[in-house]
Amino acid sequence: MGTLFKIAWRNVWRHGKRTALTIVTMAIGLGLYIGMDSMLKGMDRGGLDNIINLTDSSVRVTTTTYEEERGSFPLDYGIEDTASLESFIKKDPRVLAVSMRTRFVGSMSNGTDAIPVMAVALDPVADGKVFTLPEFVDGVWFGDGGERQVVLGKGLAADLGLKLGDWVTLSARTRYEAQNADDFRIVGLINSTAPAINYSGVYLGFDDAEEFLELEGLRTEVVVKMEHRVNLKDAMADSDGLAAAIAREYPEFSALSFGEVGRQFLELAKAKSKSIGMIIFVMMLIAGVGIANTILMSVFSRVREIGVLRAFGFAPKEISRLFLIEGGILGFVGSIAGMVVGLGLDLYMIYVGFPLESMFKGMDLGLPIWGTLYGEWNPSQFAVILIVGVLVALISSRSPARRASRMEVTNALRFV
Amino acid sequence: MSTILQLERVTKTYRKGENEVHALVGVDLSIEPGEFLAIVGPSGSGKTTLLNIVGCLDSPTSGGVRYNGTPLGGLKEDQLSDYRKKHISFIFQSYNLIPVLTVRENVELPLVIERKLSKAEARARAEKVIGEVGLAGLEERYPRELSGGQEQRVAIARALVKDPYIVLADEPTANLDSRMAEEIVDIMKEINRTRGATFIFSTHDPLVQKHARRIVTIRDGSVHADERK
Repeated sequence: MGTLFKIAWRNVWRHGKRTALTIVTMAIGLGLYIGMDSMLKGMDRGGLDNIINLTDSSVRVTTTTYEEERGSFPLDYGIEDTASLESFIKKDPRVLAVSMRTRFVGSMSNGTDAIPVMAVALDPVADGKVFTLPEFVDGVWFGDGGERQVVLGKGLAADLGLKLGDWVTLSARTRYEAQNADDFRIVGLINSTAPAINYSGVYLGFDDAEEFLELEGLRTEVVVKMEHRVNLKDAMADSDGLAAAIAREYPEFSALSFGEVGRQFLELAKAKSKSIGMIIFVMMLIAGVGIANTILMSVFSRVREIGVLRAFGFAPKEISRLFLIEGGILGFVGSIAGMVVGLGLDLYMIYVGFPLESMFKGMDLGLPIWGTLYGEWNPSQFAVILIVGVLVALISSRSPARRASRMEVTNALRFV
Repeated sequence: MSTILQLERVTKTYRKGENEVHALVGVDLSIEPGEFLAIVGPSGSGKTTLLNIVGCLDSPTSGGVRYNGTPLGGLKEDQLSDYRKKHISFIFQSYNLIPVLTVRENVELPLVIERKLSKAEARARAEKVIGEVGLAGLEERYPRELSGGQEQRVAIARALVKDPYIVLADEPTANLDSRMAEEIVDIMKEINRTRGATFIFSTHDPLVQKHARRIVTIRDGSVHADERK
C-alpha cells in the first residue's frame, strides 16, 4: 500500500495545473457551501434571537382563551393574577426578568395618511430588562412624564414622513369597544434587527395606555427573559422546560417557549436546510465530474505506465486501487482546501458579518432579520464536507480506475 | 538439459477490421535455462507477439506454453500476474520507467510488488543491482534527469533485481547509439553469465545479434531458422 500511495501521491502532483484546477474548484464549491450554511444558520439564529430579544421573549404566557383569539389581539381574556404567575416564574433560577405586555391593533396617522399598526403597551423599565429594544432606539426609550409618548419603528416613521419630536395620532378601540384617538409625541425611533418592528412596531407606556385604552390593569401577556445560552439547543431546552412547568402549574395559561412561537420559522429553516442539501448535491456532482475527468485524463496519459506495472505483476485490482487512491487524495486535499476556504468565510461571517442594511438600504428582502447578518459556527459541516468529499471522489474515480484495470497489457505497452 | 520454456504449436491470430492477421503460425520452440537467445526477423514478423506470449502478457489463439513443464494456458488474470511477478522480468525498447519514482524506487518496484523482502532488504538489493549496472550515485535521480543509456541501465537493473528466471527484452537497444548498445549488451551478457538468468530478446541490431549464443529467426509468424553458436 505504501508504494501504491507513493505512486498515487506523486502522480496527483505530476500534472500540477490539472490537479490545482480540480482542487480549486472543489475548494470554492465546498467553501461556499460552508459559508452559505453558516449564513443560513446565522439567519435562523438571528430570527430566533429576534423572537427572544425583541418580540416574544424566552417564554410568552397568555391565557389559553387569549391565545386562541390572539390573531385579533383582543383587549380581553387578560391574566388576572399576574403576581402569582410572576412569583412562580421567578422561582426558576434561569429566569433573569419578567414583564407584562398588552397588545392591541390600531391606526397611526400623520394627519394626512394613516397606517394600521400592531401596538404594544408596556412597562418601559421592566420591559427593558426582558427585551433589548432600548438598545436600538434613536432618541429615548420613554422619557420622564408630562406629555403622551410613543416609540415607533424607524421605517414606519419614514413611511409617514415623521421624525423624532413630531406628534402623531394613534387611534384604537378601547377595552370597552369605544373608538379613541389621541396625539402622542415621538420620543424614540427603533431601528432593530427585526424588520417587522422597524416597519410596524408601536410602543407606549402603560401610564398612557391605561387611559387611552381603558385598560384598568389588563395585562394580556407575561414575557420572560432567561439566561443567555451560547448553544441554541440549550436555550431551547431551558425555554421548553420553563414553559412546560408553567403549563403544569397553571393549566388555564398557554405558556409558549420561543421554539413554539417560532415553529413556523423553524419549519422554514428545515426547508432551507433541505434546499442547502440540494446545493451540496449539485456541488458534489460538479466536484465528482471534475475528479472523474482528472482521473480519466490521468489514466489516458499513463497507459504505458499501467502496462509496465501489469507486466511486473501488478494485479488488475491493484491498478484499480492505484487510481482510486489518486481520486481519494484529490477528494481529501480538495475537501481540506474547501474547509480552509469555508473556515475563512465562517470567521468573516461570524466576526464581521454581512451588512444587509447598508447593502440593501430601503429594500424589503423578506428576511426575518435586518442590520448585520452574522454567521453561525457549525463544526459538523466540516466533518460532512470531508467525509462526503472523499466519498464522492472515490465513487467518481471508480469508473476510470476500472477502465485502467481492464486495459489489455499488450495494448497498454504498445501505446505511444 | 531440462527445458524452462516449451512453446507447442503456438498460433496467434488478430482481427484487424475485416481481415485476420496471423502473427504466429504453429511456433514450436524449446528454451533451456541460462540461454542468451536473440529472436530476429523483419518488422511485423511476430517477434514481439512471441515475447508477449512467453511473458504471459498475451495468450495464444491455439497451442500452448509450458513453464518448467507446467502449462500456462487457462490461468486466470491474477494467476498470470503472479507468474509474471515471481518468474519473469521485462526490458522495454523505450525503457518505460515510472517517471514519478527515483532510480532506486524504480528498481525496488518489482521487489515491492513481490513482497518477499523487507523494506531495508529491498533497498539494499536495489542499490547493489544499481551498482552492478554502473549507476551508483544516481539512485535518487528521477528518469527525466538521465540519458537514454542510463534509463535503459535502470530498466535492466529493474528487470534483474528480483533474480528472475527469465528476462524478456523487446528491442532493448533500439533507441540507443551503437556504443551505448554495446554497453547494454555487455551488461546483459555479464548478468546472464553470473546469475544464470535466461535472456530472450528481440532485435534488429546485427551488433547485438553477434553476442547471442542462439538466434531464432522468425518470418511470417513461423520459425524460419534456429541456430546455436
